[in-house]
Amino acid sequence: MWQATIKKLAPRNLAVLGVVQEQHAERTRLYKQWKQYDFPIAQDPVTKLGVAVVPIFIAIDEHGIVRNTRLSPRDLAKFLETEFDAPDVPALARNRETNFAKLAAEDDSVENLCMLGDQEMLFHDSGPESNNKAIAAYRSALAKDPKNGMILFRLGAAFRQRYDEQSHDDSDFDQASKYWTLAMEANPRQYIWRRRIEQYGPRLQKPYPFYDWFGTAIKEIKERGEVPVKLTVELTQSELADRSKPDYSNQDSMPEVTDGLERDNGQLISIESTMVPGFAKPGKPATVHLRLVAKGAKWNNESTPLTVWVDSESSKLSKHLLTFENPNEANSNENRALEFDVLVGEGDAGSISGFALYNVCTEDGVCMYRRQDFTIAVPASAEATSAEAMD
Amino acid sequence: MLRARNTVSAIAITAIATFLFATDINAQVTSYAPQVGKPHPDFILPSIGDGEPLQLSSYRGKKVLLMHFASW
Repeated sequence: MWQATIKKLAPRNLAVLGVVQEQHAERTRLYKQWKQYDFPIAQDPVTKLGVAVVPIFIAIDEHGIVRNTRLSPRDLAKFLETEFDAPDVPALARNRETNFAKLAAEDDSVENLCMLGDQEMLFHDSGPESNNKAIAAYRSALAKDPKNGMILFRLGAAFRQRYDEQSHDDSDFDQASKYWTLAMEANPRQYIWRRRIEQYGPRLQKPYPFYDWFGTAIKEIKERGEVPVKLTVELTQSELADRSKPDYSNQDSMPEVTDGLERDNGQLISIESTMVPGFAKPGKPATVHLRLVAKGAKWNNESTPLTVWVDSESSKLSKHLLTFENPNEANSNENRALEFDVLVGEGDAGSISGFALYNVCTEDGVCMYRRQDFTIAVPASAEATSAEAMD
Repeated sequence: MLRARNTVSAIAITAIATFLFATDINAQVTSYAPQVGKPHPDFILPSIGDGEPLQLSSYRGKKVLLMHFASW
């Protein structure tokens, strides 16, 4: 209804401006292309504006005064017809200091440090350097106000942004998950933060499908003869709605004993793990994301596919055996994502142990079958862990 | 480069930021609570496209429908 109303009324001196709560801008670009929105959309990946729920429709008059904070399509025509008097509003503050690094150096208040972090997150595109500066600024702010959810969430977003870079630390997504979890616990009624965790968390705890519109959007965009916006960060399975119930009593068979197989200590393939939410609570499920990164070799897709075995003495797992289907090309070097859910038992959260079996080839053409053993810590509830102690 | 962010030159940042209103949202570390009858705090955020950042105050003189939403 909004779309039709806007199309009808927009020519009447109405500017439409969208602000989207989204970590990855190109996902909204695809959504915009699909819905054929022709109005500008801004991205607020750090909830800089403090928005806690969506959608919100605000009517602002030509003088910049808010006239309605719960606008409905029915109200829009009346809003446009109304003539509003110019109020006595504060004058423009021109030439305000905008060197936030200088401001923060002179006065390292939480506000100045957050502005510096936001600037690096939102407007500077020098890659890892900007991310590192943002993380440093938010960390400094957090040291002054350790339980401030806004800072905790921004720090998580900065870690997640660095995770999506080619150059990142192995623990970046894990750090993001933990800071987001702490943020949500600081303010449980902040639904944007909650959704960010649910986005990557257990499927049955999702209140609604997150990105299930993707398939329909791409199909319909192609049917219009257009090329869909390409995602730079692929969707993980947990971001799609699969309502199938996890089977924690599954009896997956362990791959044949491979103890004698030569080990890769992470030089060929690195294995990163992230648990969402970032801290386990007894009886509550969490999703474990594994990312296998081809660092010193390429995947050999002409042999048995990548297989991962996971097990835990203290927790139940939705899957024990995970496999990644080989792509069509003979060799590839993509990051490979695998997921499973963990149901933490009473007492110690404990850990998950496992191993990965994979075929890889080095640049000089040497192909090999390797095993890598790993352990994933299952951190206990956030109360027992301070933000400062995480790194 | 995997992420999609706007590249804004230092000149553009300065030019934009000099027009911030006294009631800007730049330093916001609290919740969003626009009030009827009060000026909406100004803000600058990156566009999801490759265009210039979007600033609310640049729409002064027009009525604005500001929509906060999500694509998930």
